[in-house]
Amino acid sequence: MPLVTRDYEGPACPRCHARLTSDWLHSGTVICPDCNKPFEATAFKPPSRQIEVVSVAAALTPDGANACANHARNAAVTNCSRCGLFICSLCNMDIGTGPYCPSCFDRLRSENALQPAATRFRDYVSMARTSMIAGLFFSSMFLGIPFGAVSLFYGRKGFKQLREEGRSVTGLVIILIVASLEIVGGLVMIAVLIGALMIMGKK
Amino acid sequence: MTPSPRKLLGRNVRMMSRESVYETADAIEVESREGYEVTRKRVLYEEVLLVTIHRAVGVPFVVSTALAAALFGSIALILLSLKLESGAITFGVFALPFLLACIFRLVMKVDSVTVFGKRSKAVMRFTVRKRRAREVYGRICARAVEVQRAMVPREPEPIAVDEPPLPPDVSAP
Repeated sequence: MPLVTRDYEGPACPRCHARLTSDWLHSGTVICPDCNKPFEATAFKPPSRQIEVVSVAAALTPDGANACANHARNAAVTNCSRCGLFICSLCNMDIGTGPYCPSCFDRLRSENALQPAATRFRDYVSMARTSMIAGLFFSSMFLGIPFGAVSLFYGRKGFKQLREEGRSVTGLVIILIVASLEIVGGLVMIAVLIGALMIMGKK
Repeated sequence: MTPSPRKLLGRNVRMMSRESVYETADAIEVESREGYEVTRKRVLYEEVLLVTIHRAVGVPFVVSTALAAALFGSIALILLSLKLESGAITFGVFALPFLLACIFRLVMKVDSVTVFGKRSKAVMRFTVRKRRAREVYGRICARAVEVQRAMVPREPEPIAVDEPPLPPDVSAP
């Protein structure tokens, strides 16, 4: 059964989770109107983000101005990296991966091709770590080889994931070394066992 | 794109969820884990509405650890009354960590820092490091103030208008 979670509705009492109206949003000690318990708070009034949109008429230069493909009155500031469409600053979906028009952005996001826009992903490093630990536990049963191989497989994916996020790979390198040793250890154990069987067979 | 480096601010470990909260250049990043699936959300500094800090006992934790301690402790006492010392010691050892955890929580309590944004929130809980909780609270507030102040469009400076020189007096002889 999936866990039922409440949607986020805005600032609430951190103790009883009762919704706080704007009257209760102030800095200092706030006493919750619902549970009557105090908490310390700092309130902010974030300014709305201003996007500068230049009209085609205002942007007219001797070279002329290109109009946005979606907003005919707005001057284009760039073009989409994927389809080349001229787009204004309202349509420019740039999250550090280059300018994209809204439709290309949606498509790339649904294909999980935009890493910074990904909100749900698989943690391959944890999978590699778990396989490595399982391999250590079952190495005496020759299962170090398959578990080590699985750990290497997920480790390779995890390495790519960490590199894309710019995070340290030191922990993963240790996991990969142990997984490699599990495989080598397993192969050595099999070789020793075969050798012992052959010697016993000769006798 | 090279993502901005992030720094672990705190965690929020509860019975059913495990969250890690990181600080990045422009937002607070929350990673919730369900098995091997990670869900990532961000609370942008430019959208922070309220930052709170409070200290609470955490009733579910105290009740669950007290119940576990009481269960194992009562079994240990029953076995002790039946003169089964080894069994009583075993169950006593089982009960001890729960009892210690319960007492520790009652004494120390837990500090929670909550950041409410326009679309999402981040929660960090600190059981031992109280100073760290205060430090994180101050740090988030300072960063939010800095980012939101930078967003406010500056008023253009008034242009200094010099008095134009008067034309030479033509009527003078």
